[in-house]
Amino acid sequence: MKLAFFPGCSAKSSGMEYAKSSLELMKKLGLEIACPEFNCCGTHIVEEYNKNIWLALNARNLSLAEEIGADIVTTCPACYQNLKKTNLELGDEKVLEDVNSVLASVNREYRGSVSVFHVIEVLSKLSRKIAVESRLKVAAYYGCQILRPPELGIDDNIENPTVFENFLKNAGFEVVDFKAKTECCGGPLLLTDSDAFKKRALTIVLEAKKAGADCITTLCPLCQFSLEVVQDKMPVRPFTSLILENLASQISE
Amino acid sequence: MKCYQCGTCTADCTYANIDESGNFNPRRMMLDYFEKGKLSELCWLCAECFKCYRCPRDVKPYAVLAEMRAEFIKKGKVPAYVKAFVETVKNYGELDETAFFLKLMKSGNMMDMSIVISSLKNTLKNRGISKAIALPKKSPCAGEVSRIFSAVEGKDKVKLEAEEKSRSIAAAGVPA
Repeated sequence: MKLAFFPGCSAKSSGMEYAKSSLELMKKLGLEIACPEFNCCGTHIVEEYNKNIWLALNARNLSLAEEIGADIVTTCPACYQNLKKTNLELGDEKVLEDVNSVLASVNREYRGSVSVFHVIEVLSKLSRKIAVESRLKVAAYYGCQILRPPELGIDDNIENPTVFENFLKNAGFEVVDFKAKTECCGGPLLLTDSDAFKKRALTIVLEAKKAGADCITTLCPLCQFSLEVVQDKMPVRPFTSLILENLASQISE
Repeated sequence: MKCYQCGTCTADCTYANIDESGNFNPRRMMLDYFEKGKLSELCWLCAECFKCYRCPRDVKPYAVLAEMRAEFIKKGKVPAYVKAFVETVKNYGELDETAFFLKLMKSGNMMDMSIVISSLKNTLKNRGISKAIALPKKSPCAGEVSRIFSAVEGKDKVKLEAEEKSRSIAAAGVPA
């Protein structure tokens, strides 16, 4: 399976560590990864500003992967959701035709053949085993957009997902029972109400502490940002960085 | 109206649970919107957590609030952060965070400085000095992205003009 790596804007700027470690880990695991010049997914902000621009931005990204015969793998749950939502909407032939008339302005076309995955989906399905050597008690934090809304989330139990914990346990981490794992980090509130943002992010950190965690691990660059800028007592690590830092030895078949 | 006023959305809502004033109430915002077509400015405070997906009537409150925000934008009431976000994407091809923060500061809509400072510290730790104080940089795809914006905006303009023309013809009583 060929994959086109879509870090997303956040994982390219403040969340750079997450993008770098994801790419490194996937390559170590022998995956064939390409890095086309993707644009911003626009997220709900551009979608609400102008739906057709949002559709075309995402269709352009999908067309870049299609051009090289790849599916997309992304580190960012928001990009994941936007790309998947676009794919759903482009299932309507008329919408696809309209989008392609816009993409013609940049000499591109999308035919609708690309699937979109999050890094955790790709890594958790691999048969090659990742083994870590660590005594860390880890709180696995999902946040929101990897799960919700249900029509766009990963294939797991929406109320009590387990794919992330199971993946970390299989790798050799001790994973704590973390009640706030699917609560919101408050990230978007950073732009509209920073007091509420801080309050929210701290609540998540305190819940992890209560659960007995030594560290929180994230799979979203925005959650990573939120949880680590509001405090410096509890370590917060992107899950791919956490794995690379604690890798036992060579990855076995 | 599909909504039967159970309030599950509001009980589950992240922001309603932080907001001590009790003003942020998606159930009430939707009632006013569905019954009176009233838009509430509070819709901009939604945290995009999609907790309200549990709606037993599948009203999708998150989508209703998004629709309200889109209505505000159509009326030209665009918050500074939305303008800064869209302009950054249009000009840079990506959400270059430095460019975005600079635009935000210029617009006077600045987030808490302590957050910006700890974010900078975090970036320094990860990337070293040379890259932390990064100048805004356009993505190689910036040209294509601007062309996409122009193409859609051009089409929108043509559509709008056609609509206005047919409206004025109808107003003049000339059969179409």
